[in-house]
Amino acid sequence: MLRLKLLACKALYRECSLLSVKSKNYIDATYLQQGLHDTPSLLHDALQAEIDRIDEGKDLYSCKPRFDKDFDAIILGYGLCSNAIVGLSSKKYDIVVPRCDDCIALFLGSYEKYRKYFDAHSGTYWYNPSWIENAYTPSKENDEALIKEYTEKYGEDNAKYIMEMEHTTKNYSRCAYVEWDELNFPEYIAYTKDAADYFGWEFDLVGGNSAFLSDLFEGNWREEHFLVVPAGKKIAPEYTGKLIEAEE
Amino acid sequence: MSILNDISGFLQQGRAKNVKELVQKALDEGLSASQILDEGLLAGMSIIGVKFKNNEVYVPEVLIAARAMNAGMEILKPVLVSSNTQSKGKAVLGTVKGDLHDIGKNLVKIMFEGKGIDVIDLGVDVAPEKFIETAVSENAQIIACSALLTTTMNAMRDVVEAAEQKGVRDKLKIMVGGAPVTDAFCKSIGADYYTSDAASASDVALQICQA
Repeated sequence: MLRLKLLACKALYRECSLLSVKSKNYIDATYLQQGLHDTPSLLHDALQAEIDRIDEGKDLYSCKPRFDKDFDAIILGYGLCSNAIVGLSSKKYDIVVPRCDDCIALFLGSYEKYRKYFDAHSGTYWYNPSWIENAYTPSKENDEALIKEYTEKYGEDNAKYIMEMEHTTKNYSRCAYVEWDELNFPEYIAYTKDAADYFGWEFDLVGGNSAFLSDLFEGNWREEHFLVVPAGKKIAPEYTGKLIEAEE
Repeated sequence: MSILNDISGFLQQGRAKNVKELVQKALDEGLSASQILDEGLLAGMSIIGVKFKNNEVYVPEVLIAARAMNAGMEILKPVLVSSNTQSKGKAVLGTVKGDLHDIGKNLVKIMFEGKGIDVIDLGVDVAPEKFIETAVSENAQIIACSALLTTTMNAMRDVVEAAEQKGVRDKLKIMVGGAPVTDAFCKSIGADYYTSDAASASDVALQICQA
C-alpha cells in the first residue's frame, strides 16, 4: 500500500473523493479553492507553500509524518493549469503529475480524448458535478447575479460593458456535460441544458470515466501519462508533446 | 499637471464620462492631444497595468479602465489625425487557432492604438496563414499572437513556421502573450518577444516600430 499525499483543486472534489475512498492506497487529501488558475502565479505560490509545509511536517491538514506514517509521494490533482505547476518542487517527496492541460482530461478519462474533442469543438464550455458545485459556471442565474454585483460596484454602464467583454460565452458554440457512471446528478445535466438554451449553445452529454485519475491514485504512473518528479527536482515545461518534464 | 492627474485618476476608476469631459476640457485649455494621451490616458492605464500584474486589481477593473481610455481616445483621435500625427507602425493582432479568448487581446489593441500603432484585429481562432497573409498585404511590422490555453499555445509555433515558409520571417517581428505564455516558450518557438501584459506589449511594439 502506498501512502500518497494528494493536492487537488476543488474542481475535482467529488471525483477525487470518490477515488480516495475506493483506493487500495492511503490517500491524504488537501483541496485548494477552484479558480486560482486565473492568476497562475498565485496558484503556483499556493501549491509550493503547501508542498513546503508538507515537506517540513508542519501541515495541519496532513497526517503527521512518523516512522510508518510518512508519504511515499505527493500526487497532484492538477494539469498544467495555465502553467501554474511549472517550477513546483519538493525537497523530500517525489511529485507525480498527470500529463494534461487541465482537469477536463481527468474527467474525460484520458488526454487523448480531451485533445480529440477540443480539436473538433474548440468553442466548448465544460460542465460536471464538481465544476457546478465549486466554480462559476455560466447560467442565466449566475449571469444575473454577476450583473447585479458589477452594477453595485461599477455602475450600470460599466457593468454592461464588463459582461459584454468578459464573457467569452459569446465566442462559445456549445457546452458539454461530462458524466461519470458513479456520479448520478440529473439535476446538473438539466442545469447544463438550461444554460445551453439560455446562451444559444449546442448541448452535448459526454461520457467520461475515472481511468486517468485512477491511475494517479493507484500508483500506475506510466511515463507517457504521468511525470514523476524526483525529490529535489522541479517541474519544467516541455515543448515536444510531453507537456512537462523534471529538471534540476 | 493637475488636470492630467485627474484624467489618469478617473481612468483608473473606470469613470468614462469624467475622463471624456476632462479630456475635452484639457484640449480647450490648450494642452496638446499627445500630452493628454501620454500623461493622462496612457499614464493611468500603465498604473492599472502594474496593479493587474501584482494582482491588486482584476479583469473587471482593467476592462472599465480600458473603456474609460477608449472614451478619452474618441475625443483625441480627430485632433491627432488632423494634426497629421503619423501612424507609428502597423500590427496584426489575433488570438490563435482553436482559442476563443479575447479580453487580453482587446486590451493590447487599446494600448497599441494609444501608442499610435495601427491595429488590424483578426479576432479569435485565427489560422496561422491568416496572420501572415494579412501582415504581408497590410505591410505590417508586427504580428501579435494571444493564447489563453496551454492547449492552444502551440499554434503560436505554427505562426512562426508559416512566416518562415512564406519567406517573410525576417520582415516581421512576432510577439506572443497570454496567461500561460512565457519567455522560455517564446524562445523555444522562435518568436521574437514575449510580454506579460498589454502595457509592456505596447512599449515593445513601439520600440519595434521605431527601430
